[in-house]
Amino acid sequence: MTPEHTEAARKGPLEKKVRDQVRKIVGKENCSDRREDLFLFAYDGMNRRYLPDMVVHPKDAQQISAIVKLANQEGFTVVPRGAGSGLSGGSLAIDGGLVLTVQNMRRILEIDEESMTAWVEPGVLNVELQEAAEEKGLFFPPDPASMNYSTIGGNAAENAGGPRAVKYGVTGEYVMALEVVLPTGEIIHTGSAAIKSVTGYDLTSLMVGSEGTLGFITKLLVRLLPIPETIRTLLVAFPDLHMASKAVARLMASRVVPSTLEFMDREAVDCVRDYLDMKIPDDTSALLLVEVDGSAAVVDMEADVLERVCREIGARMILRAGTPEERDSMWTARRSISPAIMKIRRMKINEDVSVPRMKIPDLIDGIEGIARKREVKIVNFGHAGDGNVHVNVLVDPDDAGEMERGDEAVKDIFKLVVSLQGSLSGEHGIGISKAPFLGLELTPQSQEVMRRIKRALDPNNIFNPHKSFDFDPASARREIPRSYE
Amino acid sequence: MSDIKRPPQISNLVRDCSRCVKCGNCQFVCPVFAVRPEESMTPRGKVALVEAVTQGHLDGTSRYKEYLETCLLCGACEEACPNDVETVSIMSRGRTNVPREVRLRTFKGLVLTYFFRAVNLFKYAMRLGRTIQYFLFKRIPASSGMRRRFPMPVITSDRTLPVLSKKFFRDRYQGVVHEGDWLRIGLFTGCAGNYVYTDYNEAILDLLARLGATVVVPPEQVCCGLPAFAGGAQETAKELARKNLEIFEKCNLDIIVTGCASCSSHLTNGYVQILTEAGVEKERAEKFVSAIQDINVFLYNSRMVDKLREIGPVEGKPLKVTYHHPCHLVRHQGIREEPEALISAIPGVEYVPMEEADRCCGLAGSFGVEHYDISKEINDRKIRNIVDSGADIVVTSCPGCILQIRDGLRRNGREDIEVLHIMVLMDRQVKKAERADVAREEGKENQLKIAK
Repeated sequence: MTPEHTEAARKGPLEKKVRDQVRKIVGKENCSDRREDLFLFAYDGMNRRYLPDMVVHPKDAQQISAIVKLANQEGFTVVPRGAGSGLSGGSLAIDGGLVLTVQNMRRILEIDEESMTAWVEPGVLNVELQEAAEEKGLFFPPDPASMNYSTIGGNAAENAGGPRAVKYGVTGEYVMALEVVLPTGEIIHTGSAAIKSVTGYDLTSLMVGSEGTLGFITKLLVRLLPIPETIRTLLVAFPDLHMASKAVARLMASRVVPSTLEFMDREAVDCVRDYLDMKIPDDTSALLLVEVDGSAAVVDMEADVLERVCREIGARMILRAGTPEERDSMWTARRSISPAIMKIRRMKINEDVSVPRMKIPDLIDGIEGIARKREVKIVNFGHAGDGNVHVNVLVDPDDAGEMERGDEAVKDIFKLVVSLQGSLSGEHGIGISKAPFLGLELTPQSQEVMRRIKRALDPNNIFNPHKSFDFDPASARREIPRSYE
Repeated sequence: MSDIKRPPQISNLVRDCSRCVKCGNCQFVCPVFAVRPEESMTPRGKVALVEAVTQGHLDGTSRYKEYLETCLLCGACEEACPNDVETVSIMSRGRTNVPREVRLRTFKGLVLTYFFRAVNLFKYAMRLGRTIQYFLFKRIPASSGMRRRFPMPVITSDRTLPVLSKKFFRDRYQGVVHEGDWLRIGLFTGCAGNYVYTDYNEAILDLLARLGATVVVPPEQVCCGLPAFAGGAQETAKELARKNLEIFEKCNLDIIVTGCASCSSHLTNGYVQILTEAGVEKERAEKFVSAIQDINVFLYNSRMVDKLREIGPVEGKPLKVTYHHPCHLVRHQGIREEPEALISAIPGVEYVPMEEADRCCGLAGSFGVEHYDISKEINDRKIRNIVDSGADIVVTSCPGCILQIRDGLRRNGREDIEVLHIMVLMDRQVKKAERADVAREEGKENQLKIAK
């Protein structure tokens, strides 16, 4: 990006005259520049703080369009924000300016049972869509861990995944059409209600995963699926990580597609042992949580196949859930990892790297080496089925040496991931958290293509600047230091 | 930044706030967020504000105070938090960040700071209230010209408030009210149990007497101090705690019980720290606190479940009873099984659990008065769950919850469902079983006579 392009939007605090114009557009009850309110929209799930100049809750595309036009004219930045639960800093107002929320766009406009689609506004929570769909016997497959509080708009902007991605894929595969306000203020409609549509460039895909840098999504048409009749859940313990990995490959090759295939490494298993109702063998190096869904007759057969494959490879323990309660207690193992690791250290650096499925053992072995070299504790778990691993480097913020070693370990891990043909982020996005490492994965040429697209759509660079390839380390100067710093 | 003199207990506040990583898990379980989905209503948002104020980035303004006070302190977020952020404690301590002049600007601030402290003033005000209450609230038809909007800023004329008791509990029962040959038990009545719902304290007296205890009601006991503490009036909270310690210590008791979930929660969770901050030696404070038990726990530990089961049956169809878990018992003290076991054992009762039984009813002390609209919406969900359970009676163990649920049932036209304190139901059924027993004995004699 040219220096002029990056600098264009930065004009210092918003003048009162401009703030009054914003108030006029949305009404004064739908925006605030009170300092208390600015602090409420200064953070997201990445847990950093950048104070915006104003928080605005528009109600539709027309209001957003008017604000965006004003932003171009007056030279201030706008940052779209869903639930503010993103982990990469995508909704932080790095340059101040306006934070535009989806708080007043929370309606499910229509669920069409026959075409199995839904029109929703971006502020609808993932869980709200799930509940509404369920009433019609349908479900929305993307299930990020944040599904109880993250918004559909945010899910689409980050192209969020989840445990079900191994069978059903990520958010993008379920977004059919969008209404978007462009960074220049035009309102466009992308995609089609028809499942097959190849008319022109696929702008829907361009918007999905663009982390709020190319426009504000104001309406989404999403695809739903019928709820599977039943689910079978298996918990499998292996004495050796490579065995588990081999099992994953064999399972996928056995023509049974699990709806979930989660794994935990030895450190993670040791963390959760105390939380579990069942006894896990002491020598467990990897634990797999496998689910198959579908009609009752088929899933039982499939579960038999999974059991046989795991046993042949050398599983020490195989548990099969017979009741919803048993299934719940198996999921407890997976769900309690996060709280459990916080008992070891006060802070975790959580990176959601992703490698080709078969490279998981290499990744885990490599990470073990990094943990030894950097003298930090690292716990790994995640979605084995699609190679998306949550690497958690545990550090104590009071220990400056450990914090530094933790940062070094993260850099090592990113290099390792790229050397294994992997990706820096499976589902959290780049935002500002991974932006400094983007060059490890993307060549200068492909970054340049992205810059050209950005410049074409956002000539004044007013839309969520300093994210991803547009990262500028100097922009961190506006950050309000974290409390332990 | 105004010059805030920070009490010592907030020195670690920033550190406690820093445990929050802003993930958002708390939003999903927050009853306030469920009806007001705005960032200022989220627990993480409030923690962020406390952090900013404590760090000096933000002033403790009236809006800050307002945001912090729109919290039930129900603890649901703590339960859901993967990082063990102590939101309830952070909220209470965060409220002390508000400069005195901002706090005193409101009616509530004045009440918390001065009124609760002046014990006699409090008592006389209650007496006055007892006399004039009939002119002020719901019992006067809305159409009547006599009914005017209540002029006090904190009370909504719309809400049905309980009637102040004709004779306050501690005016009727003082000192050693029952001599027994078992433990010497002190009764902490709580303000609600003294001025309003005296029935549950009467029930506790009766049940303890039946168990053979010596029961003492120290007449000079004062408010536990929770409203002041939660409202940020720390000095008042300390003074009240100290008074209670001194009064109860003099009575030479084995155990101190209370039937108020909020009191028992504050007495057991907050008192050691508050008392030590008030200059009491830690050991002395700990000894006092270790003697305090919620009535449910005390009875459960005294094998009351078995004793209730031994009591003869009550005639007729069993009553369907559901239980609402008060936040101050279930989350703040982890008391869940004890009341459920007791209810199941009460003669003539069929326990029918409701959905979301441990979700806050929405009163949360003065929250329910200051934010009646939000409180009502939260309450409506509770009422739906109660109605769906099919119960004839809903019991709980907190006077605040009783007030709230009664109000909700009235608004929803379901006054047929009775709301009682567990102890009131227990006492009532025990007496009923006793009468049935006597009747049976008499019946037997008659039968025998006939046989002769």
